[in-house]
Amino acid sequence: MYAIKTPSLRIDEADLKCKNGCGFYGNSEWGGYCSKCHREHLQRERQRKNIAHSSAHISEREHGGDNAKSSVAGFSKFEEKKRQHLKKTKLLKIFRKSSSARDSGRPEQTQEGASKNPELEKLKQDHQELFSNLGHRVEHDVHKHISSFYKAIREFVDVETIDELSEKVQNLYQVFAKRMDASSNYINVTAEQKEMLLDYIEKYVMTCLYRLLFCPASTNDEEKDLLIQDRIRQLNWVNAKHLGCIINETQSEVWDLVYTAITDVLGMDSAKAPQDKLNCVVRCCRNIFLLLQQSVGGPASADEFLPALIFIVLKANPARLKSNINYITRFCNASRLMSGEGGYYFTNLCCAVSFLENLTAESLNIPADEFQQYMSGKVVPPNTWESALMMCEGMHLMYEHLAILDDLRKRHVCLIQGTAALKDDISKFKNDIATKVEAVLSRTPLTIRPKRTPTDLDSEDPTCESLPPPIVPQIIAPQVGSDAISQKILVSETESSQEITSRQDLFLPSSTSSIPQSSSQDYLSPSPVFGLSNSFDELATPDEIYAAQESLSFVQGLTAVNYDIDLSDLSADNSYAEDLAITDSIKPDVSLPLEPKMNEDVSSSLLDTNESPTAGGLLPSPIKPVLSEEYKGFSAQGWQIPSIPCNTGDSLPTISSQSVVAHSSEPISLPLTNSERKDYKVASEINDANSVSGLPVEGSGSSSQMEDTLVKALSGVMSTFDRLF
Amino acid sequence: MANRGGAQRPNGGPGKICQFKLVLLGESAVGKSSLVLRFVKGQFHEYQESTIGAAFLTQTVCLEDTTVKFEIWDTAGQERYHSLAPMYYRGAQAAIVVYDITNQDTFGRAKTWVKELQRQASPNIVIALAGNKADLANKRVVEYDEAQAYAEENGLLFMETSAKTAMNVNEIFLAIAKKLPKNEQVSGAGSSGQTRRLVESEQQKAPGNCCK
Repeated sequence: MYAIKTPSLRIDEADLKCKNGCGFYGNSEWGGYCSKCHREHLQRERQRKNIAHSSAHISEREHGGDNAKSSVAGFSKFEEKKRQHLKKTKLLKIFRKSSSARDSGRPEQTQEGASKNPELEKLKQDHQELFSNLGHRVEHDVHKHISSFYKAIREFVDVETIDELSEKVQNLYQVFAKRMDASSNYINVTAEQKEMLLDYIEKYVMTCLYRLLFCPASTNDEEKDLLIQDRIRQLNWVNAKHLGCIINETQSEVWDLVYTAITDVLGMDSAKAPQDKLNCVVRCCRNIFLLLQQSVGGPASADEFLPALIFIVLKANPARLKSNINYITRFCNASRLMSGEGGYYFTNLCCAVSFLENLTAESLNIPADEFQQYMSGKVVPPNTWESALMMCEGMHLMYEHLAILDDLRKRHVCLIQGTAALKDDISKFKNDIATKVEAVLSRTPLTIRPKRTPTDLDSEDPTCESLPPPIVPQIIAPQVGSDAISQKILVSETESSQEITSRQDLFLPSSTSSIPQSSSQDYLSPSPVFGLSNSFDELATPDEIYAAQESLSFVQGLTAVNYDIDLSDLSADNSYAEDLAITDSIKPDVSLPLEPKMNEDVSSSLLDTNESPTAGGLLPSPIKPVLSEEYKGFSAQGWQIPSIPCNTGDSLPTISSQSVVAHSSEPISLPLTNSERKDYKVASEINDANSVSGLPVEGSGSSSQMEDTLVKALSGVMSTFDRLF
Repeated sequence: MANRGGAQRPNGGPGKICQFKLVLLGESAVGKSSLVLRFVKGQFHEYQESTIGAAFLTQTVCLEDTTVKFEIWDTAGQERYHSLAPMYYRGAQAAIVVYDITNQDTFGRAKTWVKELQRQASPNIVIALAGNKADLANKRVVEYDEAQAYAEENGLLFMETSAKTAMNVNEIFLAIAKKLPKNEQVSGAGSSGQTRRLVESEQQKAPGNCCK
């Protein structure tokens, strides 16, 4: 076999330990044992030797003739080695003989064992189809023949020589062949099926008799096996070039085929039936042709085939080569051996073995002394199988890696292409969207845009600074008694004022159309809220009283808008006393951004046209007439309107500057909703526009400030109500 | 032995099949396998994938009353493998000894092959001598007359062939088929036992040469 595979450079921990597995480290000098186990082992060995010596002594006397012959003719250098081998074979023979003797004592048992043999079972199964086609009678006759065949051979195994047995087996094959031609049972059997039946019988009988007929003790097959094995080992240095064998050593596929061929020829030993062994040879040879086809570039002729086969046999060094060859020649149906592909390949194998046995310096075209040096192992040819193999392994690996790299490169290219495509797609998509957006934008009215700017204006300081007047209430805050209140006033002030403006838009339609509040409620707010308001009204809870108070305060603060708002927020005063410090800092932020909104809402919103009168009349004017007529209804309506900011008030924390205050108080939440209200306005633009359309009429109808304050008071009521929920 | 199966097949009457083993002998590179490939596959240097080997091929030739199936065994022509030849031509009913008309040495080798066959092969073997590469007539070294005279002297079939141009390729195989004895008893009888024993004797001789 290939020597390169066996040695391993790695030493396992287990290799260093005692072979006995006692856990101590072993020593190579002690045969891999630790000191204690080694001593025990030695004692055992000594005892065994005493026994073996006596038997070896006997066998040596028996085979003395052989020994003498070999020492005369053999290679003097290897006499020592050979003698050792001979000893081994003799010992083996002793065991073999005893075992065969045991077998002969119980022939019936052997046959029974044979019938249970899994290989035979498999064979039977394989031929099941054939027999089912041929019918029961044929099957019966075939098996009858097999058993008689088996008995006939079994009887003579120990009596006759192997050649006589071979002759008998061959005769039995022919007898059966003739019987198939003559017997009425086989009339309907085609020639091909007859061949298969013959095959079956041969396989069956030979599998049964394998143990007795393969390498029988009566022959010197085993010795020959060992001789050829040694010979091939000695010739290990012979390489493809010596043999004139064309094998493309650099091609990995070729080496794969070399290995396959070697495996095939090695498999010969494990097959039992002669045909199976022959098939192994055929497979091996076909692989050789395949590898030669790759190396030569065309169909190989015998000129290339035989050297390649010799090379394969040399490198494979098949076990029991001679025994196998002899077994096949003796017991394989001769017709198969002398013709057909199997016969041809088998002949070639015999030729290869014969060539190796008779190999000389001349047959390798090298000088005799060089040959001798190589044979004695003194010199190793530079280009040996090992180096070639090593190189090949390296090449093999390299090719594999190159293949992997190629694959990776391909994948990489694919990936790059994919990304490029994706990029294109993205840019396309982007362009598409851009054009679509442009189209949409061109379609949509530009009036929406100015509305968006107000949101930006929140942060615009310059505009904020231009609105200091609303902050004036700060001065008033101390009058109320606490800073907190004043702060809240600031906040709520802006809220309320904004609310008012926005609410006005919403409120007014209801009043103008003189439809009861319900209609406007339906329009602007969810009904459940309305229900609550009713109940609230009926209950006349302290809150209501509170609201009334607020309204009173509004009245008081009519002169200044700021004061009115202060009072509306009073409800939350207590809770916010603690937040003073924080709210102080927030003050300007809160007040400033909100104020501009007011202005913008008024000046730049869609409502410009509609609200311009309101702006001119300072908000309260349009609302007045509505409120005067139906105060109660308006209140109900009024506190429902804040419900919109309330709902949206959930998102309070989003505005950082006010979030601190907003945590626990609704009034402060109102300003936050301003921005949202703006959105709401945009969304309900049309509605607003409709509702607002009535404004001028109302505005013209009313002008008293009282009603304006009432509106504010109502908003305060609404906010308190909101607080409750 | 080889044609036993064919002869025994109950095809009956005129359409009987005879199987013959034919051995190709000759120095390497004289075009043995090219000749066979031309005969069997009709190929010359335009090999198909299916043709993996030219060492063992079969081809059927139809004569008037019989179908002759040739089983063609190629042999390694190198000098070093010369001694193995008997294992190949044992049991062969026909042999073609090939030489290259542009190379005198190959003709010399062919002569030794013929001699060996006449001495060692089965006595009724049909031997044909083929002077291959006839298309290279301008480089001819071995004269046609010389070879023709030698063939007549030794009772051989003789043709100059060219695997490249297919000249005389089918003809030489046909001539052999005609010359082969179609009588089943002659070729079929003892060959199995006889050849088998030859194989054994060869094997027993082989180790004896080197070790005993």
